[in-house]
Amino acid sequence: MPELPQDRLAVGAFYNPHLAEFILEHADLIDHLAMADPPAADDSFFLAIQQSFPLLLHDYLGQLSDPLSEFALSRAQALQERYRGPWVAEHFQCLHTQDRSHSLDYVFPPLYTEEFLDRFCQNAEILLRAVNAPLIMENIPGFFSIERAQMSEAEFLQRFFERTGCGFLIDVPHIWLAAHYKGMDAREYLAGFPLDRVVEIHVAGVEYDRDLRGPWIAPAPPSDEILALARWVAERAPELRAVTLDIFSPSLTAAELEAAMRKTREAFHTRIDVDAGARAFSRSFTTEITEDHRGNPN
Amino acid sequence: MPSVSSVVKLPKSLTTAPASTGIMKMPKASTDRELQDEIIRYLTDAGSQPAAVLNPSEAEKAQRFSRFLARRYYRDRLHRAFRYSRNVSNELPARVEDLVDSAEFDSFLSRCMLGSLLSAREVGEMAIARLLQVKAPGPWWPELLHYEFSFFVQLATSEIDTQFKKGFPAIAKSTIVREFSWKMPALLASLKSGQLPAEDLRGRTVLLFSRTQHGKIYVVELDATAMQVINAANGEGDVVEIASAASIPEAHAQQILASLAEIGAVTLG
Repeated sequence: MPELPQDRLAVGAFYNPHLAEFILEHADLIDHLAMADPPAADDSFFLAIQQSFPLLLHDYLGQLSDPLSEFALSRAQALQERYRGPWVAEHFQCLHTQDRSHSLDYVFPPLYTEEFLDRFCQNAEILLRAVNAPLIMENIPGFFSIERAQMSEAEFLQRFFERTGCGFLIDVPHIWLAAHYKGMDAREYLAGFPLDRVVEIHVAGVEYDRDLRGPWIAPAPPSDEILALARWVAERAPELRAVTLDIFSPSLTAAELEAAMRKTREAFHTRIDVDAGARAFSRSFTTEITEDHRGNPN
Repeated sequence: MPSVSSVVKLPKSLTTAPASTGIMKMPKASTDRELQDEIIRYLTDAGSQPAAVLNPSEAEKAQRFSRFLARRYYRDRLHRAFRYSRNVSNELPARVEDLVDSAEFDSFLSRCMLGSLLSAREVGEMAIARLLQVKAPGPWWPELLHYEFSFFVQLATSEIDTQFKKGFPAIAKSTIVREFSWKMPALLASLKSGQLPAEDLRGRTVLLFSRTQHGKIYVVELDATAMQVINAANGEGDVVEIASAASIPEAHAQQILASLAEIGAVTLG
């Protein structure tokens, strides 16, 4: 299994299966791949992908506000055994009801209260044991305020990391948005966040949304402002190992991925050797198959 | 479950699964976790009342976030489900997923319950109505759209079956069994390779569309025996009665039901 570079910061991307051929041809540009979904059964490129890149488990493993089911724990364990990445990531989120009758199908932060802190700490420890790998947790922005919070997001995260020993996956656009909707400067908002726990940084863009009447998370390349903020974080994160371009979308084109990766690498002064390591890979593209026509599920 | 296709007349109850209502009574939250549930219900169900912890201006922002969530959710599902039609028609006025930006969809948002079967069917019907207006690239066009509609309903439904009687297998809420007059697997294979079908692929096929509680979608061909088992799995009879209705040994019925349960098509109770 390939490993992250030991002598420098790794700069990678999410695995977008429709761009597999491009990714394989640009191993010089991409140090690692975060896996948001397991590979499709008919993904003919995945074996080569796995042989060429360190893979970081970044799937939805379950919400740590609730106990994870045996199924969820087994699935997490199986995925980590398959990818063998240096760590496993999850989110500070609570997106479905306890009875699972309602789900947002989208990242959504928990209430920052003592009760939720206890819940996240307990369930993170169970997940940690199941995957037998370090766990890092990603911050999630809120769009509106709820009159129940007992602490700030920064304090919630600080105390969580102190109690569990987990690492921090800081999503810089998420920080930027949280600060924006609180009317604060992002660096001011970051005061109190445990940047010494940061292991991985996510960068991406934000775009205007007409329902929200303002910027929000989008599958877009990072702006100069986001990259400058990410560098600011990196300078304060002694444990930082990887920066990941957080764009996972079927609408992403190879040209957009290439431009965003070059810009991100340049921002972190990571050398790009255009020719070395490029692989010839001329197999034609295959589309994903999500339905199963085998007829017999057994 | 053998994969031999056969001609089966479907009862209407199998093709039109019951729909849920969008209005929910809000339980009073006593813990923070229950309060979070209350907020999630408010964001997913247009018919619910705002949580008490949201002041009016924040409740209005939450409403906007709710609309954002719905547009995002259905845009993603439409894109994933209607992928064959997108690739084979040159006549499409716009991408079908762009319907989430239409006035028609704005109106739907006032009754949307994210992930409900009722909402999935309504959005799927909007998509079909749009796509039926374009010049058909082949006589199989309406059938292809109904295939994609059935697939979309699975992708866009996350409702969990909760009302079933123990020991009485029943077809799952979002499961769709549909009879096609084209050989759909062959048709899709042709379209997937970028070719319009060269030969006449007319032929009756019965397909079952289902999703597991973990979100895996299945489309399988049903043979006559499996179809009889499905027809009998109405939540009113036990395995013995289902075996009798399908004229097969109880062990065989049990085996077929287990296969159907594994792909989320029936709940065993």
